[in-house]
Amino acid sequence: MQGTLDLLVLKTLAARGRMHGYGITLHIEQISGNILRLEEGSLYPALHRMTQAGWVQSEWGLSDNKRRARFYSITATGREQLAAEEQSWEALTKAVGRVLRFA
Amino acid sequence: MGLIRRFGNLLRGNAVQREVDEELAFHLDERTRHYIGKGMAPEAARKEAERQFGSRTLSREETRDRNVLTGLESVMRDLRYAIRSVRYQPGYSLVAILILSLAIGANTAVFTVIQSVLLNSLPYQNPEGLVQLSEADENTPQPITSSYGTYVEWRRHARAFEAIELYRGWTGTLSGHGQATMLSGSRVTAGFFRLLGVEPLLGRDFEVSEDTPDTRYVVMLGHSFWQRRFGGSPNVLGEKILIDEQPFEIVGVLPASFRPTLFGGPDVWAPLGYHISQSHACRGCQHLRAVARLSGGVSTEQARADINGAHELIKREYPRDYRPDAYVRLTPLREYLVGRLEGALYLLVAATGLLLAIACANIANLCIVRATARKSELSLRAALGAGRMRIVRQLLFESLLIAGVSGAVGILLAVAGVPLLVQLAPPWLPRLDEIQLDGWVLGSCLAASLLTAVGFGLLPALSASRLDLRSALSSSAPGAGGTRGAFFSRQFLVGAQVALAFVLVAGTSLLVRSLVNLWQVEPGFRTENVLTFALDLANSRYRNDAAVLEAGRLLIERLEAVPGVESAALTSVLPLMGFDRRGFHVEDRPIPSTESPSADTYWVSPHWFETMGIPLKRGRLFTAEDTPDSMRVALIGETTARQLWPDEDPLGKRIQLGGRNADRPWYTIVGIVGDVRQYGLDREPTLQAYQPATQIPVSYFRVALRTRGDPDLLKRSVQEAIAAFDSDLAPYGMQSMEALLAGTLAERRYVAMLLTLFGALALTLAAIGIYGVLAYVVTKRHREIGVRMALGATVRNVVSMVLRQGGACVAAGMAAGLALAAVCARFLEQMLFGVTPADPLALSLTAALLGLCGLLASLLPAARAARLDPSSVLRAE
Repeated sequence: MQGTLDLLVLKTLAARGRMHGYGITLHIEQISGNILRLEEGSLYPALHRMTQAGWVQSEWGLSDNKRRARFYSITATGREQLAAEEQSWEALTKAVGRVLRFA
Repeated sequence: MGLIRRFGNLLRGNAVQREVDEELAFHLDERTRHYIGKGMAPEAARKEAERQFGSRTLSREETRDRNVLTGLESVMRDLRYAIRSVRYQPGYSLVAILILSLAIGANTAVFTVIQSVLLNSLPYQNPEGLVQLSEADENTPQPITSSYGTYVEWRRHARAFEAIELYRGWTGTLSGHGQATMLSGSRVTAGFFRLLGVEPLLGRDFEVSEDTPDTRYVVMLGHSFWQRRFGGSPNVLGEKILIDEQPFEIVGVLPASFRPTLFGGPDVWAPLGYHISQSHACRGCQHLRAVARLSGGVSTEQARADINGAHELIKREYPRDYRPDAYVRLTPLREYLVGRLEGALYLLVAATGLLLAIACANIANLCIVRATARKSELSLRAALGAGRMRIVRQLLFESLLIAGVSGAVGILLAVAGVPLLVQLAPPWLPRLDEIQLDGWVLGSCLAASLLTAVGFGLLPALSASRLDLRSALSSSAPGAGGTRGAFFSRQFLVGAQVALAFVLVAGTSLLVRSLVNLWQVEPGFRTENVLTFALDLANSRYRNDAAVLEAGRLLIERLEAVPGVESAALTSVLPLMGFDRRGFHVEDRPIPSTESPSADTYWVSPHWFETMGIPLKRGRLFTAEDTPDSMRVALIGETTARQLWPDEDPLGKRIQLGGRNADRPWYTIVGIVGDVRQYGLDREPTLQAYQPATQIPVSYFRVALRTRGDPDLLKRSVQEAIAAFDSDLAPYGMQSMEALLAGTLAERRYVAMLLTLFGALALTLAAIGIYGVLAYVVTKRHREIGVRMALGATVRNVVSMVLRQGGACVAAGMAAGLALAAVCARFLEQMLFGVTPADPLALSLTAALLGLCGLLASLLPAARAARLDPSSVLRAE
């Protein structure tokens, strides 16, 4: 789900600060215990979309091994968006839970 | 914000794509490193990284797309494609551009001229309410003038007018400030400028109190005269100038916007200053012109009825001053100004319309050709996923591109063409100096042409997008090429072009024939090697009759002494310039004044007939012995003799001119001379009578000199001779008789020239159309032709097949054109001379021209068909 991807990316950036795309992928894999594997083909379109929307900003920089990479960080607008997405996620999971608990 | 950035990225070209690629490459490299770190071999690691990443192509494209305005981007791409496409078909593109720009340029140029002259508002306040009034009757070929007496009565009785004012020409010699110059001006009644809504730039208008014989010595200066003579100085007010040795006080200056094309001028304006008691203010003395303004809400018809009703009252009150059939002619000012020209100009409008139609048909044809030719290309694009709108849009861009370039070239043509047209135009074309390229005209011509181009460009686009993929892609498409419908419409379009071209060319031929006929008319007087000018003996030196007569005689002597001058003569009226009509009264025929015929009267010096080459038919000419003391004599024209004395000998009879009067002398007819066409080559000669200048002194006259060789070469010597005779005299309007004559034909020549231009363009376009159809036929049917030739058809058979195809088009077009021409010819009638609208010579000439044009256009395709090698055609299957 696109919404989920946005949520995960925004949360990653909010928690970890400035990262490049590969770093974001790794973080999500690690933290989720390799259960969540991003559809990598969709990551970059999403990142650029969010940049245009003003939720993240990007700049070129040097990675650990001195290679040029694009680094992303969350903006204030992005944080607002993140809060909103988290709320929706909460509401969604609660609703699913209620349906499942109904015996 | 993002929008701006995305727009900006469009201009960065491939930079965005490269950055995205770099970003994705980094990701993949890191992933690969990760796997290598886990122990995989480099290639395997790479493969695994890529597999995990998923569809890279899609990803990089989508990522990139997030960063640009994809809509705009595809538009730009289509535009670039359109440019390339147009460049790759130079033949078609050039032809289309040529056609369109010619049409736009020619139409704009001609329409600009027409608009300025015909359609634009006259530079007066509320020009629609202005009319010209003139006294008319059966005997007057050109009712233009009225009299002061009648004017006074009109003002008393007529109800439908806010104001009626008079004006007349006025020439005089300005002296006292260096070189004497002849002035051209007008005298007007006091309310004249107010009637026109013209306010003086400096000073004031005339006052009613100044419009009397004693107080009329004030002037208003015309704007350009004021600039030339007084340097535009504001201090002229109150100054006095001498005109004909009479001081006039300058009371005002007219604005530059007042360009008196109608009302004489342009140098000075003075009050008319007439009074009913004066002899020249009588009710029959028609030498003034009247202009009037309709009261608010009154229609032309109502005004006409009103003034004629008033005229009836006046006639009843003064029966001896008016012919029983006298009436008032009321002409709206615009019509009076443009007059006979109107027909010609509307003709030109029609011609431009025709040309535009032909150009449109041609463009449409071209577009259809292209669409059919590109069917396979377009189907391929459709097969590869281009939506219908995409294809339409792309073709639209191509059409717009061509239309745009044509528009630019057309504008250039128009900009160059308008001054050219103006230069070639007859000089008395009204408001010639106002003609300049008008934005509106240009805009509408552009819009019309571009709309056509785009519209027709789209047509095939729309049909092309509904393609049947299979049939379009297969190379063995049906031989006739494209759908039957497309082919038929092309033939129709060519036929239409031929028809329209026929009409244009037919019209041109008729006009040209008229011109030729006119040139062959005998004017009745010599036109080559005659120099003329006007002179006014205005000084005090010529105050009495004897002095004037003597001066005339002496002047002739001096002029005849100038080397190169063979003979010199004076006249009151020059042929083709103006007229002086007076009642013609025969002594023993006591017809009341009002019913006697009018004759053009001339008073001339003895050498007049010799100078002008007017033959003597019977009797004798004037001699120096005809003095004020000898018997009063007169000469009459042939037609006059024939009409008024059909069974008798006019010699010896006595006549009076200009009002039967028992107290005035009768003139004895002593000779009959040849007729002169006073009003132009296309009018029959009128009744004419001559009186000797040696018996009647008049101080304003025209001089004619017969020269040996080119009259223009003698201008200087003649001017010097006049200056030597009297340095205060200034000759005015010096020109050769030939120039004068050419001037009368100028209008027809101009229209004929323009029509010829259009006709030539029309023929060219029709030829292109015919060529296009036939070339296409040959191309599409070349397999069929190859087969035929292989089966024994000769070259002749093939060529005749092609020609027949073309011939059918042309023949159908000509038939339609003939019918159309028959309908339209009626509008041409006014301008024709010596030919009927259905003139067989002109029509056959037109048919021949079009046939020739069709033949030439067919030659190339026919030649190509003939050169077809059947074996190579069959092999290509």
